[in-house]
Amino acid sequence: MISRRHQISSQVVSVSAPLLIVFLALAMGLLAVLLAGKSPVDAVEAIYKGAFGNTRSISSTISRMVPMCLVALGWIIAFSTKRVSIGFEGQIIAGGAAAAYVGLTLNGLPAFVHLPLALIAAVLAGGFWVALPTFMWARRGVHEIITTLLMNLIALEMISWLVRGPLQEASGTFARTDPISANSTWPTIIDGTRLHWDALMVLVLIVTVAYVLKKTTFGLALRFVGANPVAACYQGLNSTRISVGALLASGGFAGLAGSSLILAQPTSTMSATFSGGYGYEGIVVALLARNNPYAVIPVAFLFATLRQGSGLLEAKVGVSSAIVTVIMGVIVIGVSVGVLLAEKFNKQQIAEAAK
Amino acid sequence: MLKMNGISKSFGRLHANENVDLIVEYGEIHGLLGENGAGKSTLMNILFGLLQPDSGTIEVDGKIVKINSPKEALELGIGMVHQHFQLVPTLTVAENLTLTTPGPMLQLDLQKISDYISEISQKYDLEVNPSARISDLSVGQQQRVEIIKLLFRNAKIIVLDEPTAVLTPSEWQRFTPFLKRLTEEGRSIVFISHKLDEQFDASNSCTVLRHGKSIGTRVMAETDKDDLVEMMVGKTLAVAEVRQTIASDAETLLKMSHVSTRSAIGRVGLQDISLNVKSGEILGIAGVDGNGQDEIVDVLLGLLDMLSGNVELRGVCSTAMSPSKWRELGGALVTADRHTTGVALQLDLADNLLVTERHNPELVRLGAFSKAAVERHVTDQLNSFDVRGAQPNVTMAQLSGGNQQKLVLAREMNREIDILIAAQPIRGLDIGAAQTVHDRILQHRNNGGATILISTELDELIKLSDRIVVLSGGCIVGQINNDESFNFDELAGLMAGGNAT
Repeated sequence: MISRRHQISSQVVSVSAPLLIVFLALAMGLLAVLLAGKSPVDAVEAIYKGAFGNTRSISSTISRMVPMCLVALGWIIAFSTKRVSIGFEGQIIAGGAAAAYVGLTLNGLPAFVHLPLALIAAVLAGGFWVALPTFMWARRGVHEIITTLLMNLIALEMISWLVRGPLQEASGTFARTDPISANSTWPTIIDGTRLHWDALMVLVLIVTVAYVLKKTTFGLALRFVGANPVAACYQGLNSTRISVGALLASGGFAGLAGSSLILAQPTSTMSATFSGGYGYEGIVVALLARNNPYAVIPVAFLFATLRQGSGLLEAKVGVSSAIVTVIMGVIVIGVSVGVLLAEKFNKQQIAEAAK
Repeated sequence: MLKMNGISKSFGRLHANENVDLIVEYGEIHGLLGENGAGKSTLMNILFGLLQPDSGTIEVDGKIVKINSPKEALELGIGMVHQHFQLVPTLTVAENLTLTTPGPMLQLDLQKISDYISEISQKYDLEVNPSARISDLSVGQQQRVEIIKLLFRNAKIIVLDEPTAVLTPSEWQRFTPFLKRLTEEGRSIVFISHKLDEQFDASNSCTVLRHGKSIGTRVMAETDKDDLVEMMVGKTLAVAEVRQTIASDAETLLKMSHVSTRSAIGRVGLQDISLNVKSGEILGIAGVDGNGQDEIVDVLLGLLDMLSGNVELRGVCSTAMSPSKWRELGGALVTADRHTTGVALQLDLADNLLVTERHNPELVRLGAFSKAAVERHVTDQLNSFDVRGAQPNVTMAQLSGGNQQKLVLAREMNREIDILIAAQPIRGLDIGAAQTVHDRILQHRNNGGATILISTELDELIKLSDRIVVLSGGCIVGQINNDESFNFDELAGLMAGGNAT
């Protein structure tokens, strides 16, 4: 029997380890600023002002959290069955493109029909984009980590063709679409800012995912399959089918993230680069949040702050905004190592407690 | 000469090895016999330095040695071929050998190693091509590569762990002369197998382990199967529990007719298995592990396809059986290997208890577990089998093996069931808990339930079963009524090789 003290100490480790890693990464970033001959104090100030300086910047920071959180939820669902999908970038593109298509074509529909239609199209397209890798895994055991990654490359090519081909703006000047129908876009929460009502949808989805995983029979099925797929079969769960469901749902979430990058932006056109790396960043957010849906919020907040603040960092302090990418990179490495160490620590605790 | 003297090793209260002696001379094939859990693995792990004995010594060539790792064992000339080969499938035979070669990698001479392999291959007629890729080789050839690996490192004592599990009978026939050639050169082989025929085929002498103790060593030429079986399973003092006569018109709840399945690596093919279990009856299935027990369970649950035959559950011919349907029809299953097929170690106790209750209307409303009902249910379940000191939110991995087993039993048996499959239900339990489990099974029988009891413990089978069938190599080799006419020697004879006396 494990003692209470052990349980508490392992909880402390699982919370404090990520905090420590983030702190170290920030310290390293500031050290780099110092080495570049600039003042770290100025850098912190610039990031702070860039992210929280006024209503507009705060709104932008929050709006950046939306796709990160949605992708992170997608990861959490797939990973609850221990499937490792890294194809969110492609699914974002597929979802965004589908949303843009619906937004561009079905003109004249009222907003309460048009927007939901665009969202549904995005979810389906995201699910569709992960369907092939899912099918290959379920039928032939082809590992989804490779196939989902490769699907990203296909999506990138597809989107550059779409915005230069069938969906290019009528004038044919730039590689982007015409503005999509205002009836299919999210209304803003605060006028003149990037903050749209999709942020509320994300909040609802976070609560929903947390509830489903923790409290429902379906959530138990997902977690049991993830923990032991063979035993799950003997307990009457169809492990393969459940994992397939989880992967498809995760694609749907990434597709939804794509829709927000089209339907909740100040410029309502689609360019080839709209996915912006959120498909990868969302995974890191989920990992740092240790696959806890609620923990996704503060982690996404941290990442969005760094991203949003990095613009001013470059303009004011003269340090390349790439420093922020370095910080995030260090966080990723730190998380990977830290999770391993924390697991080892927990195992030791259990082993010691068992003696 | 290898000499293991008075080796003892305990894990908590379990004595895995108790004063075990093993003496292996050069130039002999020495068999190591014993049921699963008899202590063979522990003994070998001690020999290879993966475990340190609590007491006892290891002598190699008359010198007492302390072995801390498999590497140190190999330096002393002791090598092992594991059941799961340690080869890199994408590399060639020669490349695999280089991986285990000591010294700096840069100085490797692949040609030299290839020549060596060809030489060995010719000398022993092994037909191993040094430039063949491992993944292209048959399992038997891969096994020979493993042995060549040990010869290359000059191993004098080679331990083969269940080598025949992966071999076809014809491969085995070619394998024995090879082993004998190796011993003629002064090497010795430790041959782990619980198949008696193979021991008589290959070994010069053999040591029997039972319940962690070495029962004795016999020279093969001076012993027979009956003697070895008796050493393996022991004379039993078990007495049948109070019987309940089965009414002649009792309903047949479960019927397997002429079931055959395909054999595969790691899978015994069932051959023409027919079983039936009536209401109020306990059918015991005896036999050494891995002779078709798992396959029978999988067929009954619909997890393994039949080549021919059919299964009827309560008179309903069920061609499309599945674990959930099995449960719906009133079936319960206690699997033999709980870590693989029974529980999810990383999840907590409540999750492990609730996984089969996803459609229970008392616990589930609109797809979600209702908190109060679940808490009551989980507490009841944990208390009913006395899962000691367990909080519902503790993970399964934190429980001892015995408590894990009790949780599985609680999940499977604390509900309305008609047909119970109990495979090794008391493995890992202390005597008190084992008695509780047996009482539950008898209570289930008294309520008119049917039971299939799969066990390698004859005591357990004799105590509970009405009839005992003996499995060997996927076939039923005999059936014995456990009544006044019961004769222990008859059962032992069946287990020894199928020829009933």
